[in-house]
Amino acid sequence: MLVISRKAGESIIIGDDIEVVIIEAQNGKVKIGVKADNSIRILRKEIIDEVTKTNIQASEKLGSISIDTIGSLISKEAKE
Amino acid sequence: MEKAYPEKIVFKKDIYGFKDIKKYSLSKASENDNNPFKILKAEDESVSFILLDPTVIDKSYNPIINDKIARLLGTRTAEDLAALCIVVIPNDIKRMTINLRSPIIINVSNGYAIQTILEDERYSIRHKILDC
Repeated sequence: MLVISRKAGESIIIGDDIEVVIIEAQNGKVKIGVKADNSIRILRKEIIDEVTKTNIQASEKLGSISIDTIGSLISKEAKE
Repeated sequence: MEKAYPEKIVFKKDIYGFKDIKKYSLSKASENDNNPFKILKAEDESVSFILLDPTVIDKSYNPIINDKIARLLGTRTAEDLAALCIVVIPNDIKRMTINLRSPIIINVSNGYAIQTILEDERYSIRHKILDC
């Protein structure tokens, strides 16, 4: 991993088109700005971890409840 | 009107947490036409998910899908794309949730799909389905 020291107001360039700006660094917290094309998706890493965890939970087998029971709860809700 | 979904789904990128499983089948979860759930099952049957059209829960649901994803799924028109979201059903079904933050986007004309993560923080990974 490349490690670079930067001060507030300084930035680094990734590739040709992505600029990462250090806006503020205080009390163990860094505020970062990213300038990049709209097609570049920028996410907090925890979000990806949480989606993965949720997917794994979703893939677990249903308990004793049937999909028809659950379906009837939803169609009732949707009508209300 | 409900979109007609293809039966065979091919993921252009892995579903998060399920490496190298690309081919799935999509079907209704129940014979009962009022049941809105769908089942996404891996072709090798190693895993399955319960999916729900998010507009059943949130009529205003309208995720922004960028051109890059549309291109990856082999289309340029939004009309080809449909979103289905993964549902988590715990033993206490009152606590079931839907992942509105990372919908599965399907090109209904060719069956290509991807699970994307929206930047829009209004949408929750664990949105409660029932208000009780």
